Amino acid sequence: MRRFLPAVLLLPVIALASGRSDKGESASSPPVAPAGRPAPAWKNTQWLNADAPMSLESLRGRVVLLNFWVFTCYNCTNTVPALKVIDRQYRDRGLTLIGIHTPEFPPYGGEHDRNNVAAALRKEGIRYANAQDNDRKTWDLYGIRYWPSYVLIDKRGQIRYEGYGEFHVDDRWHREWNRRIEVLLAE
Amino acid sequence: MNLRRPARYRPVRARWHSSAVSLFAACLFLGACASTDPESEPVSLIVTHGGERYGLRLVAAGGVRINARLKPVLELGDGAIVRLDSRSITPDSAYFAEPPVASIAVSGQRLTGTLRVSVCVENASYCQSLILPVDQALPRS
Repeated sequence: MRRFLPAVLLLPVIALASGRSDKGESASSPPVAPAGRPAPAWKNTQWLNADAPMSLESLRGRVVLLNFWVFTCYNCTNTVPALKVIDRQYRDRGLTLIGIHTPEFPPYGGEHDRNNVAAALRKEGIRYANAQDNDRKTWDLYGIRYWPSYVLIDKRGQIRYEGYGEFHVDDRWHREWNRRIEVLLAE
Repeated sequence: MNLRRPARYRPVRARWHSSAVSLFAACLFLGACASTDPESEPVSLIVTHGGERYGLRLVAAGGVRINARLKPVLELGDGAIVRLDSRSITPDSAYFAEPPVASIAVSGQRLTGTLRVSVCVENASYCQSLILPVDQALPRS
């Protein structure tokens, strides 16, 4: 009996986890946008492709897509082409796409270095704003666990959709993110 | 020289195995384990003794790939950084095709430190960091 005690203890956790449906990555996403929760305000001070640090408050009235990524992550850079399409397609219609560059390793890994991040932005042709999240505070604030991850925030500053994983231009998940963005832009 | 007597890494692994049995039973009960959880698929650090040095080899479990763009690191207890590497990588240069290795000289009888490895889940297209404590007896030749 003692042997199965951990299983008994794990039952509520598993039941809870199975109900979370992969943070919005389920194929059976509801057709109606879910109710949100307030997006926490990030406080990153180091930005690239931005004249000044961007705040959540200053983006009120715009839909915001956060992309948590790091240049050493192949799945992240594979998704950049689709993100660039999203930026081009929706920026003028009210979407702000922001990269939150979050290192995996301590500084000796090179991911904290501004020059390395800038070089990666040039290599990937990324023109949207990127914050360096070297202390991982924004990552932790949003409870992110995987590279790449996405958080879609509505015009009122509410988190409405979250997800993670690589996607490509015009694949199923790219179309799904387009649909979600369209829903929030129309509100 | 003994290159054939690997010492399995991870003191928590035994605990993981016993928990896995219980977890599997719970999953069967709930039907809640449709996908592989990367956290339940740890890597293994295999230590071998070769002359005056020790060989390290990092092996990923099935379905897990080790990120070659961010080479795995063993931070030793004395502050030294050991990078594990392999010349054999996938054609896209993203992952190791063969387990990354390193050779170190260690005094004492135990290997202690912290292993950092970026792993990506096959067919799931995302990565995560593993930060794993290392504390194991060094194999003798």
